[in-house]
Amino acid sequence: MISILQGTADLAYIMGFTIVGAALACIWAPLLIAFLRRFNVIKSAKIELAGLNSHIHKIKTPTMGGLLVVLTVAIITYTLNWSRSFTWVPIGVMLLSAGLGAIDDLMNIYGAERRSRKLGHIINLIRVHKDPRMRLWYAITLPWTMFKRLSVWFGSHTKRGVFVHEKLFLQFIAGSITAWWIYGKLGPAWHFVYFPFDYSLNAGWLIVPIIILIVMLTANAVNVADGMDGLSGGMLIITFSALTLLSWINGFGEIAILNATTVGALATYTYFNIKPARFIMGDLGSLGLGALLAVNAMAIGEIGTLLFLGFMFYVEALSVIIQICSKYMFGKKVFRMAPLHHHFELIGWSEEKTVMRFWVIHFVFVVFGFWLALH
Amino acid sequence: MNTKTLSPRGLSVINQYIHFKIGNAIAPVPYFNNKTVRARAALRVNIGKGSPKEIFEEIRDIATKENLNIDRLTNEEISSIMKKNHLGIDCSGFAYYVLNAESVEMDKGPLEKHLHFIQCHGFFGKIACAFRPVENCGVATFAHDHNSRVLPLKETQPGDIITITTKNIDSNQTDRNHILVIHQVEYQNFLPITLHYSHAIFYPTDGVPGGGIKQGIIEIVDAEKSLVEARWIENSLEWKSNPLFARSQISLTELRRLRWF
Repeated sequence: MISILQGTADLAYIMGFTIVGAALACIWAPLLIAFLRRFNVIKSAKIELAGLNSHIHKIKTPTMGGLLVVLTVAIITYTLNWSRSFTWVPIGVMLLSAGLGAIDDLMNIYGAERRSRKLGHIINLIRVHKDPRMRLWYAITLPWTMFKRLSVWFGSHTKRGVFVHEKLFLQFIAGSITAWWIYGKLGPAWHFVYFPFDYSLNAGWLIVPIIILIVMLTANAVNVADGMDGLSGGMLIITFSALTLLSWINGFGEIAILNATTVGALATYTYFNIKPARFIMGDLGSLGLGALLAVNAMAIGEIGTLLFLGFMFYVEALSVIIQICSKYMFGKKVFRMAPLHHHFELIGWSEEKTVMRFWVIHFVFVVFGFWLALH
Repeated sequence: MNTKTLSPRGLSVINQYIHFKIGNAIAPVPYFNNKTVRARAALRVNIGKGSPKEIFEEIRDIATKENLNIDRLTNEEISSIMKKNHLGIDCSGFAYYVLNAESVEMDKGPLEKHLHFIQCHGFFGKIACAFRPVENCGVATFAHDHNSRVLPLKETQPGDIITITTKNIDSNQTDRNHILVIHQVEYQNFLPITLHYSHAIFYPTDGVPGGGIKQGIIEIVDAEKSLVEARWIENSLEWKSNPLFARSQISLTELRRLRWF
């Protein structure tokens, strides 16, 4: 692993962006809160555990607060840290994922219920629809319908917002852009997966599916972890702080500044997101920042330690996967509720206790990941 | 006259379904058959195959999510939660848990170890049955000659089953297969004179949510005769006015014993 220690002056400069990010976010956070309240951007229908006393206030909490971080980071990076080599793809992927999340949030709030026809119904329509053009259309889109029904079969019963198969498709595009950038533009050094203790693996073109998978997984993992006041914000601060230091140590100044800016914006976001939250991140923020996390970690060659740098996010995602598999295969639940933070809430932990313990556990594993990355 | 019953473990399972207890409230577990909603790959507890413990855990989670104090739930609230969330038990699910308890009590291990799952074919079918034994164990499985054998009435013991299957009747018959578990037998001169049975069933007169675990007796007039010639009494109804007896008349009704019992 590259381990060129940069000068402390550079680090001070990088940390300055944390201050800038926090300050800029702080300036427009009240405006954003007022805006979200004014337009009633509230996703009350999708609040989990809405019946719990501790969750009642969430029903009236505006969503899409992630806009604060995403826009602040994008604006600062575009104006002060724009580099075709290193920052435009991370920002582009973040904005693409955030855009997908924004569409989902808005459709959940303002959109009508969406219809999802069964496969058998579509096949019937191909045979009997009175309009030949519609018959052709249904025949052409049959593979897409099958993909859609597959997501329903795997437990997605969404009636509003972006359907799972659409989300996966767009995340696949975001992952593909990242893969194209890393594989095609950054050079042969990025075809390797670096592991601690100087182990490396030349993945060759296989790095492309690995990158796509990591982007999709990480974006969804952060999305899954965003279910309690302060939870994802706090954990993202820890992860991006570690990434800032690692980017600086590994000699990626632009990425280090981008990470530092994200830490600053996240600090302001988390200040307003601490219980009782003034707004929540929404899919916009969680998908966007999850994608950014994955891209930045891969850009600085930290695929091997990403598991620890985003530890609790992956644990949360894993808990959902385990729960779904157990439900389908064995007909019973492993956790009282998935994701994991809700399991602890149902066994009696308060929201504050769960969030803070998750922060602590995450911090410990991120430090471990950081330690591994230095070896 | 002497009496034999199921083991305390088996009786306890029956009792847990009939007197399903949460906090201070007691409500019977209703009948629920997945054929009414055809849920696929759902939780076992939501398709009429949940054990009392699983039903309890599901109600506890639902109550927590709805901010209800589980120790202060009323009988009506428990019934309402069960109805709303498709929590209940069907006849083969009930028989499975009772017979499983008996099997464990007899040191023969869990029921799934001995059962031959007749509905499971091929590699994936066998995996499905290994993962979800209760769900793949219907009346036809219990009534299959691989798993049980037909008994003469005079050999009846607690733990035997009565299967009511539709395999030899006319096609107008719409009733599903059914299974009863004999939990107590009274003997006189070493011959059974009264069989006490438990089963999960829904009668239209029960209302919604209705049904659940019912118990009845079969008075044996002549141990040499067949089961359908005996006197079936349930809810004070007998002979043709007893719907179960009427059903047994038009179906293939057999007294069976699991082969490893």
